Amino acid sequence: MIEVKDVSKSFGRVQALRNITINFERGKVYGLIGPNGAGKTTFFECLAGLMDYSGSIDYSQHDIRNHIAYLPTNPTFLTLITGKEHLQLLCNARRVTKPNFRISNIFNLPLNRFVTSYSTGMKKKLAFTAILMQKNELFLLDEPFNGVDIQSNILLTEIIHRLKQANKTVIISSHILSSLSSVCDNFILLKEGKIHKIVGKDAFNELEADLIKNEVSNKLEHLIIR
Amino acid sequence: MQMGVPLGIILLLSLFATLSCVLFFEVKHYHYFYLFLAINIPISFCNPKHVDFLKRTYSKSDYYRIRLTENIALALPFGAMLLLSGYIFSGLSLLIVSLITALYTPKIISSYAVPTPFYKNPFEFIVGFRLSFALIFLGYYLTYISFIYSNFYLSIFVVLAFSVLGMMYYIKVEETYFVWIYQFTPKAFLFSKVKQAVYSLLLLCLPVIVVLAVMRPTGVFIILGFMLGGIGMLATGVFCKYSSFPEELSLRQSMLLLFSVLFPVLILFTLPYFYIQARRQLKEILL
Repeated sequence: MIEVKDVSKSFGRVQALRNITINFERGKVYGLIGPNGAGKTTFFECLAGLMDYSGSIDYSQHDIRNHIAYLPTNPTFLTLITGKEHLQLLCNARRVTKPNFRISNIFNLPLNRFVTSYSTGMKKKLAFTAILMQKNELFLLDEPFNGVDIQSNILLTEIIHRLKQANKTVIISSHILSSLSSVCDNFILLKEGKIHKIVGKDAFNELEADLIKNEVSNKLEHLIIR
Repeated sequence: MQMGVPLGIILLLSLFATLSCVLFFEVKHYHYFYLFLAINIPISFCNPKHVDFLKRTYSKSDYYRIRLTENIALALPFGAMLLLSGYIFSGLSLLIVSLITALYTPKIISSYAVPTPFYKNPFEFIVGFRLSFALIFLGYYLTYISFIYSNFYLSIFVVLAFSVLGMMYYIKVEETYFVWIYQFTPKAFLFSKVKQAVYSLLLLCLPVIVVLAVMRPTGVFIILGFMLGGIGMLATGVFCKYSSFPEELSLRQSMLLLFSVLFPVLILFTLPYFYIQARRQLKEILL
């Protein structure tokens, strides 16, 4: 289990996270929802240990801190590196010996080409392939469905199901609610750096209706398109 | 400052000129090493990320103006010293390469993934090799020349030049993510980086070492001594890179590194200094 207690983070005067307290259970998939600027990416970076914060994050399962996979919204890559070399780098870093690139290349990526020549979707798929090749326990996926074609979206959804079956913990942020609803056990609504609501799968429809009402309908009430 | 030129720059240029003159006159064949070092500067500025950024940001005329200014400003001190010291061909070659690489980025640098022998150990030597493979072949060509003319010390210079080149592969700081992914402690991380770097350098220098051993089998201790010096320089470069992580190298650190290259005995002090700094900086990111 991962215990997050009173985690706060500010950038100058901007408070990105305010006293976040939540427990993440092993083998469950969590959906992180919230408008742009709600603090989702900051929360992921704090969980990953990429950013300092106040409060505490306790990874009670001792070695989980060594097995965190983080898929950023816009994954970064080194220049003059091929897809295969990128995978090799990430495997070396996590001590994965003898990685099999042919079997792991589930998205049929051109691994011998420079990553810089890949499209946005291909880059995301490569980053996802890399974290799957590592032996990770906690998966932090920031907008994994964005910019990826429909077949790969289906594949991603299936992989997340399999991660859950393998007792891995997955936290996904996405604006594509339909994709989240099919894979998540719990949904966390983040607003202005605070946890606004946590609901289970059964209450998802209610949460979606609430979001549509508050975030869409009310704002469009007076909009007249000429 | 009153004359419009900061005093620091004048001092730096004077020191550079003095050191260059001393080394030209005191060390045999030093100008080859000097040329090798200098020619790598304009070539490294050809990297696709840098070129693409400038092309996207500036107009065509501004792009060429910036590229010319960059290359000439950096190559001019070296070129001027070579010309003034009588190495006309080397000096002119350097200035011509600077001009050509400012106006034209070879397509091969930006699109074709040049195969490298460092595939198992990404990424610094892979990227560096692809950026400077022309220089590496120039190094091997010099080794061939040294063999033909039985010039032992020319090949020794190639070993040192490869060491400095390897060190330069470690100057650019990568994004935090590429350090965070490591499941190592700062100490283990630094040692794994040095291990990879040394292995890659030995691979690069192997043909030169073989030639040296064939040329002078009795000179094995000289070869070992220079190789160890090269490894020391490389390790200093690796530790220096992470001594300010995640920030780029500061002017002070860059100067310390430069003086460690010019006066290798300084490595005895700079290597442990950079190592301690690097361990401290990496504690924030690694376990």
